[in-house]
Amino acid sequence: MKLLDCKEDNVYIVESLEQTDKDALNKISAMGILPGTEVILLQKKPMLVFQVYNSRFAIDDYLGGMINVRTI
Amino acid sequence: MTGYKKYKVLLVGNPNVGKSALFYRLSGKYVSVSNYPGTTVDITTGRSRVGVHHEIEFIDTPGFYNFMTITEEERVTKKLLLEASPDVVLHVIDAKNIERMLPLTLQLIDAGFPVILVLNMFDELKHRGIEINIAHLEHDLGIPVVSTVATKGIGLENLVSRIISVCEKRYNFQKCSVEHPDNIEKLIENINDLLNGDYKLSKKMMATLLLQNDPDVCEMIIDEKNYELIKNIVENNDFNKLRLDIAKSYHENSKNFLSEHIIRKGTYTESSFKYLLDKITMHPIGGLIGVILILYFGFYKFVGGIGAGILVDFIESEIFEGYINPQVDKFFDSLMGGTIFFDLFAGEYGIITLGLRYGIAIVLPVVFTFFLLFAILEDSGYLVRLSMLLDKFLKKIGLSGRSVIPLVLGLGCGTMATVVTRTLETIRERYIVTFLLALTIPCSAQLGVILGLLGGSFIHLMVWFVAILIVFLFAGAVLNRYVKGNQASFFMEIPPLRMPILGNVVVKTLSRLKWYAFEVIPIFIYISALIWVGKITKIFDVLVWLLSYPARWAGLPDKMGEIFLYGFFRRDFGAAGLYDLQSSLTVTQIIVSAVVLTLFVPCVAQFSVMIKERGMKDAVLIFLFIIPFAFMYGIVLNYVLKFWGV
Repeated sequence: MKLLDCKEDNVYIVESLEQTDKDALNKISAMGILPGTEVILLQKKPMLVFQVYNSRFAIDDYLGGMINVRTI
Repeated sequence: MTGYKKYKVLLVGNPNVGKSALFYRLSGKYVSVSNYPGTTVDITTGRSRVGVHHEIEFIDTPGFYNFMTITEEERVTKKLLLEASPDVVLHVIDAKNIERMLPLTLQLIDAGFPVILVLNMFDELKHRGIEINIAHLEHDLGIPVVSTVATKGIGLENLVSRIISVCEKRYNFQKCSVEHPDNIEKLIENINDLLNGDYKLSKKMMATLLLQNDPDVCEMIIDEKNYELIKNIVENNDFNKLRLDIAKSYHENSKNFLSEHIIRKGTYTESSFKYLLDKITMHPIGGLIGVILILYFGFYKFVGGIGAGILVDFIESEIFEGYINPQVDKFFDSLMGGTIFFDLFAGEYGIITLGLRYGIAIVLPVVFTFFLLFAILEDSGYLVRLSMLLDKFLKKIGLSGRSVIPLVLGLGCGTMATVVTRTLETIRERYIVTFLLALTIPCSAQLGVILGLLGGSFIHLMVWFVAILIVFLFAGAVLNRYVKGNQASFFMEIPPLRMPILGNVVVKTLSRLKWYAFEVIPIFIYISALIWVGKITKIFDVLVWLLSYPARWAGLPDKMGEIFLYGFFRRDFGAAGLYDLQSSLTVTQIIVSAVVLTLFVPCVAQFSVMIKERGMKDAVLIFLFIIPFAFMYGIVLNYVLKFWGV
């Protein structure tokens, strides 16, 4: 499922990333999001906010739709 | 300076790792801020002497995630790495985020730089129950690893002594090797064999970046005799997939290095007050309340009350009107009294009595207080939250959260904000922001005068605000529909809210003020001279006469023609002129005038920067659209307000 469709305060593992847009891919990997990374979805409104390692990032729905995750 | 060995040290790292705090601790008082050539990106340089033999130049670079750069700031850091030949690269990381940041350390090692890994904010590890075995990590990476707490000055002596030993080539680097999957290693080897030139990056890193189709490195090898062969290898592989595989490989390697050296002993809980404040500033409604509080206390009370009120009153009335202007008038009267040249320097529109007075007494205090507020918001981490809160709304007018920075800066100086649009990712976004800045965003000097005119009645102020907001939304929606190009996606790291660091705030404010003093104040002086020429040649009389017609159609007195004309030379010239005229105007006339003046063409300085940034054609088109639009809107508003009986 996409990170965009996930529930707040749940922990997910990144399964894959959409590779259709290289700029988006650069942005996602710059945040340390790669297959196998653990993310915690903290907030969905007004933007998706998640924690990866000990950092928090806000991303828009477009980037949120490019990260495929699964529950632990 | 002779007798000192000079060394150059680059500080590199992700945003929000305390890099600037470390920089100010290391570089002491000799700090200067300059733009990287061809960009608006600030590079801060500082010099520090160590003992009697060494002088180190520290260069603080913009936030950098990895070599595959996204923003212009990141590209500047990459270019500095490629061109500056540093004696040391300090990779500053947030110690608690070592898993996310070590991959960049490995890339820097792979690139062949003399790297020192700085584990900053080391004290936060303890609160989070994390331990890092530094000695073992240093052994495995083969580079110096130092722990610091920059904000408290902890670990700096050790760091400086490590820097000196690396600069003097006394440190024995035994750099670790990063191993990629076999298919990638094979491709790297193939490109390695074809590269002949000398580069500041290792051939391995050159090959790694070429495989990811990095445009900067592709450009560097254009003169290689095997260029076509290398290009073939790059083009025959799926570089998007390779990009992901290589990023993954650096993360895997980093994980392996860290697996033995990190010990986790517990979980972290933030203090309840900090947690609550953080939640509120990121919540849609809490964030909105925050915006209102900042608008009221920051803009209305601080910039409006202290900057535009107390400071302007003091410098304008006490210093200029009380002392400088009478002396200047007297001096030039004795020198060239009765001639037309008297008016060039003194009198109502003189270079000193009007140009310098407006620049220094009216605009500078407002701009100073605004820049100070902006630096505090920037350093506290609040601007990032504002970007996050407004991203969805800004998307509707073709922008992203990143546009918040030039738009808010436009409330200080539209000229500077137009230059700052360069930091936006797409040309489309830069165009829309430039347009909105020219049309709808009042600069701080103009805002100061408008607050003075309408601030007495909250309802009148709101009518002006809503009238401008409608134009902002309407223009944004139309531009979003018709300007070509794709919308940029948006991500931003959200740092914890923190107390602004005084050194950062002072340096940022002063560097912006310096820019303003050198770039904008001279324009005030040229304008005074231009007004003088316009008046003696009667050209102004013709233009004022022409502008008085649309003013009349909007229900305004003829005199407003003159105010609109001066408004082009400096937006605040016009606003200040309106201030003088207010006693003879009705409430509707004051509101309509304030709205038309806000919308009416950008000032000369902003217009010249628009030409530079967006090109002559686009700048002129924006200009030609704004003139009739501002008046037509004024005419409609006049009827609407009359209909409502304001």
